[in-house]
Amino acid sequence: MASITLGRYVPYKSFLHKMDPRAKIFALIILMVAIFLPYETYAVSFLVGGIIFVLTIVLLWIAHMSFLNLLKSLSALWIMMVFLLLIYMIAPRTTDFYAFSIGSWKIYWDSFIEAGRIILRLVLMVMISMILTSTTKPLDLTDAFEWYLFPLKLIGFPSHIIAMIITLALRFIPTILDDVQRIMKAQTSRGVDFEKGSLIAKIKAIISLIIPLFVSAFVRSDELANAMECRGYDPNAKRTKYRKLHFRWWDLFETFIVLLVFGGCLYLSISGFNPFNLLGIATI
Amino acid sequence: MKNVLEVKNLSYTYQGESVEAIHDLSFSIPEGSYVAIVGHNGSGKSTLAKIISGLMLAKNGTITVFGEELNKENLSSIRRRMGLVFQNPDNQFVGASVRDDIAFGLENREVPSGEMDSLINEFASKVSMERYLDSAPENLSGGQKQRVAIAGVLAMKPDLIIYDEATSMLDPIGKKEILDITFGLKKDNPTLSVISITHDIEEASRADYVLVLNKGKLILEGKPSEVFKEKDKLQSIHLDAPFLLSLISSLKEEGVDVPEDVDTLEKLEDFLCQ
Amino acid sequence: MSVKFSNVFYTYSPKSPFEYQALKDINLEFEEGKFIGVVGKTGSGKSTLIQHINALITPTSGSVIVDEFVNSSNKKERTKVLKPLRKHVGLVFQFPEYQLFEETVEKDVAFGPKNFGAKNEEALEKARKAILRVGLNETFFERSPFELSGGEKRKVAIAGILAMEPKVLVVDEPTAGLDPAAARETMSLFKEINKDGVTVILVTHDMDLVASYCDEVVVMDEGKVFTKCAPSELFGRDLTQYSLQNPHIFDFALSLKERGFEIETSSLKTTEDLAKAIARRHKRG
Repeated sequence: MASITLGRYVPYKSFLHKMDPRAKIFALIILMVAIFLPYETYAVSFLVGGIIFVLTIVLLWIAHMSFLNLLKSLSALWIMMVFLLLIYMIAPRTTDFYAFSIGSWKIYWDSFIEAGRIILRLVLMVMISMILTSTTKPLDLTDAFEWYLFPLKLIGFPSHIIAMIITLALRFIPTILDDVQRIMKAQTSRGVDFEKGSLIAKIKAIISLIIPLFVSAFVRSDELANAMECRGYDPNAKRTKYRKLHFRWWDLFETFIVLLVFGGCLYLSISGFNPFNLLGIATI
Repeated sequence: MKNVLEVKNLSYTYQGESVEAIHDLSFSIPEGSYVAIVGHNGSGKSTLAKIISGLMLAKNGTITVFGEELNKENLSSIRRRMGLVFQNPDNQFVGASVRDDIAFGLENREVPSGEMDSLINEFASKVSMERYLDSAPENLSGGQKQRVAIAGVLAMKPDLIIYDEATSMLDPIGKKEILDITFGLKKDNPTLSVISITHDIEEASRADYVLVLNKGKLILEGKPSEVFKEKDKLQSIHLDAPFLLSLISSLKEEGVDVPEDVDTLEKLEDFLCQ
Repeated sequence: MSVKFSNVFYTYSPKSPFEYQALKDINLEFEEGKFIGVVGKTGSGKSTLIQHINALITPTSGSVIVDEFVNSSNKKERTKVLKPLRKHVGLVFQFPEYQLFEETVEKDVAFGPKNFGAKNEEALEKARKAILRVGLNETFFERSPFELSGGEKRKVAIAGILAMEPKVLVVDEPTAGLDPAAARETMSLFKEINKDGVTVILVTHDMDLVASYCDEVVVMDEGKVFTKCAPSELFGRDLTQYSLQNPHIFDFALSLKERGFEIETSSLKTTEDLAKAIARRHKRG
């Protein structure tokens, strides 16, 4: 339950909640690119990751999200980490940085460092996305999305229709999930076992869920289309918008900071400059 | 008095069916009235609702709404003056919250964004949903969702509201709320006309006029007191009489001489207690 | 087959922000062969209650005993395999027509019996019997359930439960969305089934149904059983705080009583009964 609710919109009144979703989406994309830029050395890579990590922790705190809960819900990532580690232990090494050996099998630090770097990137990516989704209403996200598709609209791409489709999909997710529950219960009381059974029994069980689900979804969409038509919706007509996105000074400020961070990362990536050298620290 | 709706010689057959869903139907509905159209499932009443609202086009016969004959060209302008509330509360809730759902119709009507909030508040309070403006549909009861649907319709400032079995999926309390709200609206706006397609006989007994459909044909029409007197005719199509009228007729059978002018439960009480 | 709840509690999503206690210390028995109504407003715990009977959910604490089956929070007491219980307890959900999925009506109705181990021919035999029982004829056997009218679909779905030959039948708002004639037909079907010895548990908002069909009525309020009594006993009271409405006949009888027009209400079932009671009193003056 906790893992499902994580990343779902929670209506707090934080600074992050008030921000323009367009600025948030922009920051998300930029930060992700910064994380995934190629860096000359591991040290720089971890330095960038570390800075963004600290930044993210601060953002989590502002957004009233608990870092510990987040870590708990990422349990799948830890399994992946072990798996990655194993792969890197077998993979050919790039440096000669011997760690220890298990019997005659030599293990190099590279494996740990490489696995750690990938995990750090993934954790950051998940954290940043979750901050976005838990501080932004799905509807606002859709609006921001539609705004970003604006250039396509000029060449005739129906971005407003796509946005309406996404809005309706979001609106109907809870309804359809209810349907799933209801149908599963109804079929269970007709003797279907959704958990155990042979492959054929399982396929039959799934069919007994899927078909009624589709039937109900079609009925819903048909009635919804009628209702929308009767309320004057015409996909091609001009409509006014109730919800307007507002880009305020703090959004500009945030975008500026994000760009600054990104600029720094880009410089580190392209120039191959290693700040640790200035301090006279040897790095790998 | 002006007629808000006139139906003349309307027939309709669904594609691939041999039996007519509606057969040579003619009636008219005066402005400002509350008309209940009753009949069983399959009596043609839902088909009629779809034709009146322009979701399906009549092949035979004419539909005149607000004095204009309904056709493809004037459909959207006529539709702006009428609102529909359908049966399933979930399937007509478009917005992610009550606020957004009421706004949906306003957006379609190109109401300027700045004016929307006050309109949303106004119409939400007309259906007593002002405390739920930010609630998501999954947290509302069926009755509350239908009230939002009515608010959404009202926001279009309609001259005619059509209920297509709008209360049939609600519990008795939800039903009563919808009816009370509707009668309240009619009181506020005497020229508002309401057509309610229903199988709730108690609701029909409160209407100004009742039309009874069976197998696509109009078999009875008139004031509720007149229509529900036709006991045999109603029984032949398995329709009940409303409680008051069936009680009066049972009382008469038991030898209690109820006067003709008793047309409400209160009056019956008064008569019995005198 | 009787159903017994002892000390049943049920909590949704325990230990989460969405924690919600739906049932609080339910002690209740549905006696064999009775026609029992369960009423209460939305959220009173009615549907959580009935899902326990079918072991669709397990109590958070306490146990539900249906014959030899025990659905208990205590793993040691709980019957190991509860699936056979579902053969004996048929559950007709609200709007059951949304569970149809087979290509023909008889196959769909036979689905339940087959899941409970009936051979193909035997299941079809049971299915056909059930289809006729709900008032559809032979021509429906081979038709697709999706081309039927709403009322017919509802009948097919009910037949799908009856074909399992349950000893307890739980029906949740079976008349919702039906027109009055179809509703009456459905209710008299359940009455007939009840006469054959099947315990029928009817979950409803419609007090008129309770008045005309039920032997007993259970009123749920905020997860607790408020009362269990004969319908006529219940209808003497003010039910507004439970968001329930008295049936018309009792409503009218009560307002007459308030004005000093005393009539006997304990045996009222129909409008005719009420008219007779009023007439008796009226003639006395």
